[in-house]
Amino acid sequence: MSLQVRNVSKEFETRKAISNISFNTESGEIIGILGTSGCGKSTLLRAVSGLDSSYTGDVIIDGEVCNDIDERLGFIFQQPRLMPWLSVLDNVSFGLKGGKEERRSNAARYLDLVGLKGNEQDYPKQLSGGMAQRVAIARALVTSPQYLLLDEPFSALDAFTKMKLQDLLLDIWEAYKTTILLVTHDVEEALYLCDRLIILKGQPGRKDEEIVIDEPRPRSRGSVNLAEYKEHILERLELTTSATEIGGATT
Amino acid sequence: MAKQHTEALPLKGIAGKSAERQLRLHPILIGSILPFILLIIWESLSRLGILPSYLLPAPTVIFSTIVELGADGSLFGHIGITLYRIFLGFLLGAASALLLGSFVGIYRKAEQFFDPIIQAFRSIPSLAWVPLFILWMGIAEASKVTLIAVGVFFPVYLNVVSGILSVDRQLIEVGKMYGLNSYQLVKRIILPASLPSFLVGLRSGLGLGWMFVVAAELMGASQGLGYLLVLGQNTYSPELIIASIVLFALLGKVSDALLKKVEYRSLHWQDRMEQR
Ligand SMILES: Nc1ncnc2c1ncn2[C@@H]1O[C@H](COP(=O)(O)OP(=O)(O)O)[C@@H](O)[C@H]1O
Ligand SMILES: [Mg+2]
Repeated sequence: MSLQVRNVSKEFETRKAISNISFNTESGEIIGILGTSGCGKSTLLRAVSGLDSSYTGDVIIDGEVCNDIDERLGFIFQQPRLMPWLSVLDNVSFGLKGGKEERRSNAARYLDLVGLKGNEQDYPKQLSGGMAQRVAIARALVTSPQYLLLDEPFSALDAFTKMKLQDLLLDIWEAYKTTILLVTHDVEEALYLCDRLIILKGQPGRKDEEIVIDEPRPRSRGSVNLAEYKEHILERLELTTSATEIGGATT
Repeated sequence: MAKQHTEALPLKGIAGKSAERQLRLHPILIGSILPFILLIIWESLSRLGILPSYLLPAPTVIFSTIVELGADGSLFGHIGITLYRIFLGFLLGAASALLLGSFVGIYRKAEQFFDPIIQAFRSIPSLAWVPLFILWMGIAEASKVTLIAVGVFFPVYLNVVSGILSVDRQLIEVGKMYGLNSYQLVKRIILPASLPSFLVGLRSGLGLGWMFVVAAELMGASQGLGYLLVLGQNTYSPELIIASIVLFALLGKVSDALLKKVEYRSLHWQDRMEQR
């Protein structure tokens, strides 16, 4: 069971967004895709998910090339993207097949899991940003995907809600051992959550470095070891680029 | 794992019920002051003979005209036939607009195929059809209902199309992620998401429907509120004309309020200013 990305590139009409990106995941791993804004993280994730199928290269899921939407994958977007006309419960059961009662009881279980028991009959307009994103998480989990793709899922939330949902994601991962592909521009988030980081850089985005985060769980957000990783990554992402820019400007 | 969430709670019960009720009465009271004063001035000017009664009869005279029509039973025949015409025309116009509008909104090719001709027809002032409809279908019900349907069609059609075209692409992506096919996307995302726009179209379509029922009945009818307008003109009885205008206004308002109620019920999920 694994997800492989092999030489994936994507070109929009006017520009190339990502170039030759390859990596593997192992079962039950949390992989972070980290990079500055505009380096092609979303583009890469959309290619993996099959929402966008006009890329070159291969996405290989459990050994077979997959160029389309696949039910083994679940996607959590940056915005909750709930259907405003459906109750919270019906939003969660949106992607389920089968009888209404069965779908609803299934959905209720996952709502409980994300800590929203009692909000089943609410409508999205009644939810705070954090609650709405919890609903989106439940909606993605309810179909039991083997791979969970997340595109900056917490970046629109305030710092405290963000930390709680990061811990929720870890709880879910512990319980289901889902393979998680997490796109983020938040270095601390990446270090707190991920086993391995793929650093993207440049425009078009290329894979710059792959870093294994060697830190036992549960991790502490203030860990000295993680701070060293952070130092290193910031250097890779910003200090070196600004150094070359300055160098370039003087010549 | 923490089961409690400390984020903001749902926005239930913002203000106390009694305070709300008081506030809701106020605008109606305020809004009735001016019409009430105008009615009193009008009535007194008529009584004093300043307003000639063969041009503008007093409100009480108009009111008793309506009562008389009601008493001899003919009023309900007139109202009934007018309602029947507008109902049928509205239904036909709205249904065909929904069908064609959904089709054009959903299929790009259909838009390229149908939209130019629909836009061309739209630029014809609908009343210009009257002579042709009479020529084709005679002066009986068919031509009247058709005219009303044409009037209702365009606002509903335009709103259905624009509603569908402005459905959030992000929501459609969610559906795609769950492997929904095109039919399921339409049924489960596109149509519900464009419902608000459809309902706006229905309401403005209904407004036009009332306009066209007047036109249709003016062009020749033996019954109906519009016929009362003509009758009042021919028999020099302004009270009959104004009575019929008042009835039109009342019925128009009631039918719009009904639609508004439907709209409110089916769009309770919307996050809107006026629902506070
Ligand atoms: N639909 C699109 N059409 C054209 N260019 C796009 C489109 N989507 C993204 N891009 C471009 O591709 C690059 C990568 O975008 P994106 O993947 O959204 O970056 P990130 O998610 O890392 O912030 C950007 O330069 C962006 O302008
Ligand atoms: Mg992005």
